[in-house]
Amino acid sequence: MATDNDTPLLDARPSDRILALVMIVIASGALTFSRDMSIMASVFPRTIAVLLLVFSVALLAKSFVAHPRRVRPEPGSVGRRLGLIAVMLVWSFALKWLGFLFASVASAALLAGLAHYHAWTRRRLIGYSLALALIIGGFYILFAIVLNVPLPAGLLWRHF
Amino acid sequence: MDTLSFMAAALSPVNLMLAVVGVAAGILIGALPGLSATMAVAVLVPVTFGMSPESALIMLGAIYTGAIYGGSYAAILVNTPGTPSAIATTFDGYPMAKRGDGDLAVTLSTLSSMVGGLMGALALLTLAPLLAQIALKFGPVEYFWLAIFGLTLISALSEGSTLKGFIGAGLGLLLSTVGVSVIGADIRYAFGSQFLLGGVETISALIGLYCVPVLIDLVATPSAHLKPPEKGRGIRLGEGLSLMWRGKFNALRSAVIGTAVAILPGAGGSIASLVSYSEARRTSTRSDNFGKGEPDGVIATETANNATVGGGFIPTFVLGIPGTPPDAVILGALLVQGFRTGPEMFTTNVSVTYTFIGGLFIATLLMLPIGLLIGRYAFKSIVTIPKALLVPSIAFMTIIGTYAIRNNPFDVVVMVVLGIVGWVLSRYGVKPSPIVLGLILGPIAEQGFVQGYLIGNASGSVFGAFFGQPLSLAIIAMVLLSVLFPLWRGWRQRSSKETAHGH
Repeated sequence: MATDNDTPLLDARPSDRILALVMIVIASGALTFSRDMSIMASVFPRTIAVLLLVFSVALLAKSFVAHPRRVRPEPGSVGRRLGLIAVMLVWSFALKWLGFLFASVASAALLAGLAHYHAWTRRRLIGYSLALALIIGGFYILFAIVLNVPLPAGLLWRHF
Repeated sequence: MDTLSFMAAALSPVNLMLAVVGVAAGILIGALPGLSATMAVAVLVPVTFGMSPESALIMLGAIYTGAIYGGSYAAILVNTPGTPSAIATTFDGYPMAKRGDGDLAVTLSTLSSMVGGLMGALALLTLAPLLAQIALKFGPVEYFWLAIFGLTLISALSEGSTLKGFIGAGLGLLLSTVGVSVIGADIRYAFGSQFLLGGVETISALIGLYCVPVLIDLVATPSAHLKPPEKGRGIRLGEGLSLMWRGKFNALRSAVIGTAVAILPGAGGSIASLVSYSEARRTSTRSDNFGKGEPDGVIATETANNATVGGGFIPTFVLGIPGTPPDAVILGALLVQGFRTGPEMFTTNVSVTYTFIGGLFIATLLMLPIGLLIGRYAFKSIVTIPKALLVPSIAFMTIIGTYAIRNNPFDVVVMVVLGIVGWVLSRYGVKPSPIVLGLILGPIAEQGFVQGYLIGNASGSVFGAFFGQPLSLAIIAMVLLSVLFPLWRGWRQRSSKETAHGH
């Protein structure tokens, strides 16, 4: 079992400083944008923003006076991670335009490629394609037909 | 005697069949990230309109029980709570699955859910009118402090620094203020976008913050995400039963906490499971193992969240105030059937009420065989599925689950963006649980805070409104304890290490 004790620790001061500064910006932004709100609407977000500011300043101060350590993040391929983020973002934006089914089939195929580390054989390709088609088709039927969820058909296909 | 005969009516073949179908449907829906217990009950309510009131209630209770339990599958196997009440199950359930004990974690979750469910149903049967009166003593300020208690607990319990836990909770609370304000209906932080008017949807955020980081790390390495179980181990029922026996006081305490928290309308299973997890960790002799795959952690959270099912029905039936969100849907179904909740449920409509309670007992007992059967195959299949199928399948379920909540493609964008933000934040030491709980408890905290502020202004002392009531002071004491206890324990561990080094 992996525990914190056998994981090498990193110096957390630089990352804590970045985190604290980002949170200070967010809290300050929340305070600034609450100026135009009524008292009833602004009292809670202002209180929370002030608390967030206090905690962030405390984290910043701690990074100068103490030597905090953090667990080393999970290693792995940066390219594949960025690829997954890109596919997920495009998928989420494409739902409205390409339609649920088309966007999902294309994105799922790309993700399968990203997550696969071995050589592609014809058998594997057919097997995985069939399995993905079954999963997507099954859930599409469950949501669109059984649960009557109006899944987007795609604005792009309206012209055809 | 009448009570027993009304309860025995739940044993009719039709009611038994409805309980089986309800539990299985609830487990399957609850196990899918994005489909909460509330949604499971809401989606299947129309199916019950043509049934007799007893059968309808039995089926809805069975769906609710199954869905709350089903939420633990995704929490254990993919580190994504299927329902918000399974958030704390990820703390130890997922580490257990990672080291190859996912089958044991699922078995423990099944046994604990059954124990919790039975205790909750027993409380509903015996203590309903008395307990409901206590819930009425909670005003807006008490609810505010209760929400703060939940947040301080999760911040202190989250892996890593407590300060970062508070930062995460603050961020979650701020996110909960996006959109139309709870009191006053002002538009806040929408920046002119009509999509942000509706605010950040909690379940979408939950899916994004828990699921997307798992996917990002899954594609990064070729190794399997969970250690496969040893061959021929089966469902490990014997091991699970012996662990349950060892943790019997933990289970009993968690069931009592779950029932008590559920009686407070709106508090729900997420607070119940966190409070019981915290208590289990505080009192355990193996407290250092919590968060690293300690079976007692799974027992505490799963017992508590299923105890909220019976507990939540207490204010629903006695006062007509739903204890948890799914109770609100069931309350609506009761109204459609022509029932008025309140004391009448225990006088005029006593046959329906006790048949339903009998049905709840049966559904909870049925959860054991059905849950063990589904759980066994769920773990085996999730371990053997190659990553090239697992990653797109989970991604697809997150997308369709998020979209289905409000039929809004923008929620899917928010889910993905929050997931990416959550992954970055977790590399900086801010874990998703405090952010998600901040989002869930934000509206409860804000409503209590603003109402308390207005009451304080009207009575001439805002300080008195927040710090003047005995009930508030008791919760504040628990808040302080939840913050100071981990700090004190950390200080004691450091000083004992230093002493050991000195020698």
